[in-house]
Amino acid sequence: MGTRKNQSSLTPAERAAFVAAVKALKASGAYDVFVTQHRTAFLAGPNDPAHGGPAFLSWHREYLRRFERALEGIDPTVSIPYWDWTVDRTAAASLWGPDFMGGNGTGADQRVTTGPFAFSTGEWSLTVRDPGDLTTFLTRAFGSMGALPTQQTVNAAKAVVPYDTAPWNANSSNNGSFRNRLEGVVHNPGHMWVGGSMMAMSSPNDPVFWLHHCNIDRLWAEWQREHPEQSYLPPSGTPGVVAGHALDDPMPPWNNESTPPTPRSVLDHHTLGYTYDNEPVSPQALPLTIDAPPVTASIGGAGEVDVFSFEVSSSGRYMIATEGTTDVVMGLYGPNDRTTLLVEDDDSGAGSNAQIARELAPGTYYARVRHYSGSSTGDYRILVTRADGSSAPPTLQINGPVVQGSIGTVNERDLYGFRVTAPGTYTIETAGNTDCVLRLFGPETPTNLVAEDDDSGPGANSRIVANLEPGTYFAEVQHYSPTGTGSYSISVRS
Amino acid sequence: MADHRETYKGRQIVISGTADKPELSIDGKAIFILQNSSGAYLASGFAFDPQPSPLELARKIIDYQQAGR
Repeated sequence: MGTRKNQSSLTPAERAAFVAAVKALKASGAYDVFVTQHRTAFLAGPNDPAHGGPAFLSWHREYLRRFERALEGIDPTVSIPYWDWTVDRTAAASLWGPDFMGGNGTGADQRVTTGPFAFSTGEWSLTVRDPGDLTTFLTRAFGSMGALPTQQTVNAAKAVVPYDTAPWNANSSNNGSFRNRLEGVVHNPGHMWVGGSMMAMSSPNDPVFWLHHCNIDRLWAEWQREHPEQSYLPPSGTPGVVAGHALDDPMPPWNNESTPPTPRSVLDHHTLGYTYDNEPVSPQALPLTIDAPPVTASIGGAGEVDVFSFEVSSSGRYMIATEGTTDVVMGLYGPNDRTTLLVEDDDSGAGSNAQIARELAPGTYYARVRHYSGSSTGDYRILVTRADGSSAPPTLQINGPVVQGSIGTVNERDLYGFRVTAPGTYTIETAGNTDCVLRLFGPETPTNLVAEDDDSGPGANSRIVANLEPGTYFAEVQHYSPTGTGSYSISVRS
Repeated sequence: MADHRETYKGRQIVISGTADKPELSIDGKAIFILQNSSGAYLASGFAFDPQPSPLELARKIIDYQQAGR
């Protein structure tokens, strides 16, 4: 999953990679298609699907993600950075450096003459322009029209609920419409402060457009997180709403695609494949035991995401599944990294349950579970099982041959089963030069601990002597040291 | 609708056309304008500060042009 970072924290290499990807899109013509889409939205006037209405935020979230995917097609490491104007407020900010966005416009024509987007590079001429505009070079005029939003302005906007309100346009109350306040009081002034090309319907001609809108999108995501009880408004069918602006309306210009994006489809930005670098750390993961009974959990609030973890000690095929009547979506992440998505599933299980079966190497894995609907809640159960034929652990014969084993990777846990048919005293022990810890579980379940031993055997070996009733028992061997590996043998005698 | 003419900060604003479809020129140069969903006016090159009337829009454009030099 890509991480959108504050532009001021980018390394020189990250700045260069972003600029190079943007210029590659310009050279291919793809960039100007994006500029045209934005201009076309404005030229629709009273039917503008992107501005002056509820879908202002959802339209631009979709638009930015499509642009970001185009950048990723050039360089998979690139994400759109954001410009936090509450901090970077002057022409001296690194944002405007000659290796990044370039500086302010100069002279009577306000021409940008520095940086990668100067006309003189021969690589940045404006071919998509507002009606009647003949200017082919980028222009800027910092601060000519008003000031950049302050933190106070941002905080006041983020405190507004609900999401939007009638008449669902630029006349919606700034105290009753988060969308209109963010659009009119925070977003518009950003365009106007930069001035020049950024004031136009064709404003994506200035690459800072993407960084400005990335920050707007980040503030929407923060508002969503801070007001989990607030959902997108209005629902489709609400009178007086411009087409494309209600919850389930297909959003132009993508409305003729086979599965067109809607405001609903972009509500959870994580499902679109990106995060912001200042999002709170993920909630504490709840550990699951492989082959244990299902664990009961709940999506208790709208938009809640539950995180589970489990340890795979040996390579094999595992199945992670939900049970119950709640329509959940589950993503599998890892190994040893809760941000690397392996696979996501919605309904492969029974009913509308999620189910993922996958070959996994040893390591820690994370399952993130959310409701299919960002506004719904419900209970479910989740379990992880070993899904291949080696589910049954290797068997030890009582008074049979000694079995050779090995702790091949750190923290590996080897599990053995043995069957007691007659009550009596049994001795389970390891042999060799490896300092093992031995645990005995059972009967029947590998989760009920009977006894544990470190060094009761010869040298550093383990030995458990136990009175056992008939049943199946499990012996688990682990290295004493969390960093240790080595070979051993194990046996059971009556 | 009679044409409205005024001089603002030394610039000549003319609003002509009809009430439904007004036209704007500044110093004799036609400027493309249109209305958004709330009835406010935008102009070519001036999309992010909608104004309630073509005249107020023209004044804003002149303000910008003079501040930006």
